[in-house]
Amino acid sequence: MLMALQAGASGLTFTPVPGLLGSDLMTVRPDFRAIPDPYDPSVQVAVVPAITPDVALIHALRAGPDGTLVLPTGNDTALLAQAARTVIATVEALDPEPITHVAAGEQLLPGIYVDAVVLAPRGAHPLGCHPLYGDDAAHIRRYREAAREPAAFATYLHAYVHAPADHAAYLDLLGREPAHA
Amino acid sequence: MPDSSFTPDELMAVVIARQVRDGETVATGANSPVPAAGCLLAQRRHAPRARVIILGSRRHYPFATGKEFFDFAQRGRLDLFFLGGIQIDAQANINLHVLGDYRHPVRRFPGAFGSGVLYHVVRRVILFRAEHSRRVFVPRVDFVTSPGISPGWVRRPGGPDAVITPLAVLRFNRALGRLELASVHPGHTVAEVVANTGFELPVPAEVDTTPPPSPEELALLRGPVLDELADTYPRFVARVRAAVPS
Repeated sequence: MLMALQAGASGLTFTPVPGLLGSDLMTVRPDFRAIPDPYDPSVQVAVVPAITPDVALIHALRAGPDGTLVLPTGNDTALLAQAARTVIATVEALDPEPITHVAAGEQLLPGIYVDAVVLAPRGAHPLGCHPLYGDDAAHIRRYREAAREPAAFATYLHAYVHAPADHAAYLDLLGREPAHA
Repeated sequence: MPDSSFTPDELMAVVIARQVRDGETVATGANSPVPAAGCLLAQRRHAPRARVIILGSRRHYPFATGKEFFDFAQRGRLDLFFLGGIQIDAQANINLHVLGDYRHPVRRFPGAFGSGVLYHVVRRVILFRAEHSRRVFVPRVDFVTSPGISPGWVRRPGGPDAVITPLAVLRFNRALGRLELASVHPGHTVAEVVANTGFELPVPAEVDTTPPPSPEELALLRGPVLDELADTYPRFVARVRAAVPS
């Protein structure tokens, strides 16, 4: 998938991927193909189509005035944004000063990739946003349990997605929940 | 009777540590605390020049992105990696996707997370599973996430090396393209391993007993290794600490 996103970010329509051959993924994904390596036809190579998302929704630590984002390291959020046609970022904070450098553990995504920025503190929830807060394991477990049954999932969606009027109401709701270890 | 001076988690971590060679670049994947503990133990014991990469760790992850890690591996720079398997068969095919039919699965799992690539490109891949049973070691996996062997027309520098479970070490015989019994852990028997393996397991005339963890290995594991791992795998570290036999 990372190779396919890189192809999307690079304007290619497909990319070779090491491995994959012999996997049943090649069967269940007819768009994954095996072709002769053009430079060594004695071997085959797997190719997969590029991924170019219409919209990427990403979360960042902060945004500068021109939309430049500071992201935690250790993930491929920047690559996802580079491959997408439209990028909407939620951020923990807005920085009034232009962002010119980052600290260890942070990476930059230039504002030229970013179409919209939305201030949403704790907006990664129930996932974490390093180093500000970690994953909410109790909430993820609740989601996983709810997702087993359509009725339970509808209840979950109502409580956490549809009922809260806005992000502040969602945060209020979380704040009222009993704390879990 | 299994030896009660160590737990199955500790035994597996120690056995994994012994697979790491000095100077190697080794990596452990998502949700792999036992291999991570094993690699850090190796680094502190017999492989001080090993480089250890732990996905999910900040301290032991030198890359800015996930893609950098995969590029590094694809470039052939990883000597050893660890994969699990919902199911594993005699040819070391692994299934990380589904139980049952792919379109109508009995159960769906998170998926390959790059194992379709890493199983091919990392020089030695060791499979680990905390459960040694017939539902894990099956005659044929329901879905081949990644194959154990590949034909000559596939460029494949790496592949399976061994399987480590709470009962035994199975070694992958590359010439025959299948798993065979290498050693049985102390307190367990060949018959027990064979009975809990759902595929036909070749058993050599003389089967080694896995040397039990030494006091030195256990002391390093329970002390500095768990300390080093606590940031990344707090629940695992707490579980192992709570289970240390007195």
